[in-house]
Order: sequence, then structure tokens, then C-alpha cells
Amino acid sequence: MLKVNKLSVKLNNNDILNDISFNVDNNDIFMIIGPNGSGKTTIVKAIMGDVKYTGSIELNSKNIKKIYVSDISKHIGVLMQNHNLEFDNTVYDIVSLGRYTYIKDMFGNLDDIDKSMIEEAMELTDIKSLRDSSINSISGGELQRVFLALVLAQDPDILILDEPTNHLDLKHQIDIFDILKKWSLKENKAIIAIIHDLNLVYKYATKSLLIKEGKTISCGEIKNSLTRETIKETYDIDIFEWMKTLLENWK
Amino acid sequence: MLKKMKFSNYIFLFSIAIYIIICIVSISVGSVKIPFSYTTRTILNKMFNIGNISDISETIITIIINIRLPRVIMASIVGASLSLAGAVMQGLLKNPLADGSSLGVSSGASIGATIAIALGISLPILSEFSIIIISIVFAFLSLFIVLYVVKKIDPKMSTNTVILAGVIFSMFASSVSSLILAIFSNDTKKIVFWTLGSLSSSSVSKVVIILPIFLICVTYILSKIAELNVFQIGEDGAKYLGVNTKKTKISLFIFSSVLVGMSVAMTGNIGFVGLVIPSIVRMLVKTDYKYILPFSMILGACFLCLTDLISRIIIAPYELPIGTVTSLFGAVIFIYILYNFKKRKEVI
Repeated sequence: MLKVNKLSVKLNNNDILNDISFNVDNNDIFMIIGPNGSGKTTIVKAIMGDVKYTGSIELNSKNIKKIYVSDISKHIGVLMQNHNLEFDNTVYDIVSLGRYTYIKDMFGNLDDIDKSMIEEAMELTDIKSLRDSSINSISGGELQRVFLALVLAQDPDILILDEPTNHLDLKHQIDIFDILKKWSLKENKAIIAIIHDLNLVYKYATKSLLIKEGKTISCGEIKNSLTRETIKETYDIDIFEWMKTLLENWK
Repeated sequence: MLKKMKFSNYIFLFSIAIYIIICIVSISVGSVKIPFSYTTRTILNKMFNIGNISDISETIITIIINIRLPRVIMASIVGASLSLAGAVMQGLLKNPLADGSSLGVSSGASIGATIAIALGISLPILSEFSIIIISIVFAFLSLFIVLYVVKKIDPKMSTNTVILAGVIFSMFASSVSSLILAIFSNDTKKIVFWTLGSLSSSSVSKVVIILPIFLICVTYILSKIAELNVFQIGEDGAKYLGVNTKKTKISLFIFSSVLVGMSVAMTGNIGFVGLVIPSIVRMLVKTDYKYILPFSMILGACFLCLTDLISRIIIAPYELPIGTVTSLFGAVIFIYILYNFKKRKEVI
């Protein structure tokens, strides 16, 4: 579905990304892991056309640069890191924005398909009871689920998430990934996520990409790519020893 | 939700009724007092050919059709234009304090108008439109300069920086246009006109010039309702949802500059309308541009007709500049919004 080949990005003569290649197919939960500043977000930016790059990115065997923004949004959805809203929107209003790319009506009215997609997305993210609440009156965890519902209503084939559970507690993090896993399996969709918590990666990912200073450390099926050795190479930490000391504390 | 939608529809019908009443009152009240029934009958007869008005004197018909009606229409168009432009700018910049006056667009437009008048510039072929066109160009240039400078100082374009830059530019631009008028014409009344605005020079011919421009802008902006809604989650978010953000932003800024520039060229610099009206609308109806835009227009028209009426009768037989009245309301509501905005930010 999405094919990234020899992706390199240079900024002010510094290599931000160097020869990154990977494939994402249906049902993949592809997680990108690496230290801060290793270029993870730049990969997302390249896919969405926000930075200049060399190499190629293909969506359904078509060069993504040649696809209109409005068509890309039918295939790829992005859950952003920060949400700041100035006006007093309701939860339903925000979720319904996800249908923008399908709207044919001049005044932005939604049709029945739009409405059922919105309902489905709100059902999946469990925010139906909040539908008429103001976006300014709900908690951080709920707000993240509202924006997740927005991108699910967009009905993309690939959902990209940049640190989606950043400011959430453990329970809410697990909630979000349970929703995503369910969605991916049920609808045959792919997920690309940038994430820091290695335990979450192990639990949910099917494939992973480890990068350091813009270079690939390992890439592929989770069992082969995320190992004690590759983590040591990426973070300079022996994950096994570290987890063992942690485990001691919980005895 | 259904309840609120129906509620919105009722308020809309209610506002139209209020608007019609305000128009009839505005036309009837003045140095020559005209009974409401005369006003209503004359307008119905002249516009839709309904009824018989042979019992109403020619003078009164002339006053209604040639003097007061154009003024009310002008007030409605300018009020609707400024409010619509304000609602669009607030939406694009995600900034509840943005409008033509707080971003310096109106003052920029008045530099254009005063230059055109002082130097007697007349464009070939389009001579009737000279002042309007030059005002519109200056309006857009001002918006561009202010936003460009803000982007350089504060790439996040935070609400406060944008408004600070806009207000400073606005003061600067007002001084420049006053200076131009002071040097090239010794009529200080003109300075008052350009800085505080007036509808006293409205005429049928002016209405005929701006009505088509107004209708084109309104049609275009109303066709971008879905985009404006998506802009509420920010420019990046809008792009990821499939909006061609650059094109949308520039075209909407151009059309709202046209609305502001045209209004300034016709009636001078009437402040705060575009700030006050959309803010009130946001309190009344759903934050969906499908409601915000039409409501802003109808309430903007009501507001300017009403303030014009107040400015005509409060110190009759003299006229108060209309900007005095609008700014009086505007400044108070501006502070109220700023207070709420700050309070909400602190909570988060």
C-alpha cells in the first residue's frame, strides 16, 4: 500500500534522514522507534509532503507527489500531537470535520454515509455520550479520543499517529491502542505510529523500524527487528538488564 | 443537536424580522418624520408593484427612495461585509479578536482612499471604481504586511502578537492618511470621515456600484463553508483532511480584503463591526460556519443600520460620526472577549 524507498532528507546540509526504506501493507501496525531527534517525525512530514526529500514514496504504486492533497486525504489520515481550539465547538462538530474530503454539498452538509461513518467512529472510540459536550469541557484523554474519532471518520486506508499517547496515562494509552488494533483488524487497515514506549510496541506492533541519527538500525517483522541487540544499538541501553531491575521493584 | 438546529433556524427568521423592522424605522425617522405605513407602502409599491401610493406626496416618496433607502441599503451592505470579513479572518487565523480594524486592514484601505482622493487619481476605463479599487489593493497589502511581519516575529502567529501588530499598524496607517489629508486638503471634516466613518454620502449610484462586488464576494465566501469549518482545527490539520490550505487561505483573504476595502472606500473607517458581530453570533448559534456566516451578515446589517440611526438622532440636527457609536459598543465587547479568552487559556 505504502512503499518508501531510499528516503533521504537534508536540512541546511545536515542529514536528517538517510536511505530509509520500508513497506506498509493492509493490517500492518508499523511502529517507528528511535531517540529524540532521530528523524521520526520527518518521515511523517515527508509522506505528507511537508519537507523536501530524495528517494521515492509510493501510495498504491503511484508517486505520492503526483496525488492531489484532497485525494491523499482519502487514503491517509494523520492524528496530530497537539490540538488547540479557540472556539467552543461540540464533540460532534469536531468529529464530523473528518468527512470534509468526501463532502459534495456546496454548503458543507453531510449525507447519510457521512453521518453513519461519524456514528461508527464515535462508537468505536466510546465518545457517544459526549456528543453535545463542548470541546473545552472534556479531559485530555477524552479529547485525544475525539481527535482519533475524527481521523477514523475520515476512513483512511493508512492511519499515521505521531506520539498519539504522549500526555496520556497508562490506562488511556492502552485504551487508544486497543481501539486502533480493533479498527485495523476489522476494517483491514494499516497503522503507522511513532512511539516511545517499547512495551506498547511489543504488545501491539506487527512490524517496526528502529532509527538512530536518521539511519536505519533494523526494520521488519517485530520479532526480528525489535530485539535486545537492536535496542542496545539504538538507545545504548541493555533493555533486558533495565527491565529486570524494574521488575524487581514490583515484586 | 436537532433541537439546536431548529433553534438556529428560529433565531435566523427572528433576526430577519428584526432587520426589516429596523430598516422601516431607520427610513421613517429623521428630520422629516414619515409614518411607518407610508414607508412600508412606498417600498412595497416601488419594489414589487404592490398597492397604490397616490395619496403619498411626491416629496416623501423622493426622500424615501432617493435618500433614506440608499443609506439603509448602504449600511446593510457595509455592516454585512465587515462582519462577514471579520468572521472569515477570525476563522482563518483561529483568532477571536481578528477583524478588519484590529488587523489594520481598514486603516490601510483608508490610506489608499485618501491617496486616490488627494492626488485625484483616476484609473483609465474604471474611473468610477478608482477609489474602491485602490482601497481594496491597499487593504490587501496591509493585511499581507501585517501577517508577514507577525510570521517573522512569531512563527506560531499567536493571538496576542497578531493583534498587537495589527493595532500598531492601524495607528500608523490612520496617522498617515490624516497626514495626507492635512497636507493635500485643508478640510478637517474629511479626516473625521476617514477615521470614524459616515454613511451620509450614500446614494443610489454608490449602491449600484458596490452591490455586485458584495454579491460576488458573498457567493465565493459562502462556497468555502466546509473549508472554514476544517480550519478550526488548525492549518496542518486542515491540510491532512484534504484542504488545499494555501489556495484557500489566500483566496479567502483576498475576498475579505475586497469586502473591507470596498466598505472603507464608501463609508470611511467604521471600527469594530467585524469583531463584535461574529463574536455575538458565536455565543448564539453552533460554531459551524453554515450558521456563523449568514448570521454574521444579517446581524451586521442590523447593527450598522441601528448605529447609523443612533448617530443621526442622538444630537440632531447634527450627525455623530458612526464609528463613535460602533467603537463605543465594540471596545466594551472586545475587552469582554479578551477577558473570557484569557481566563479559558489559564484554566487549560
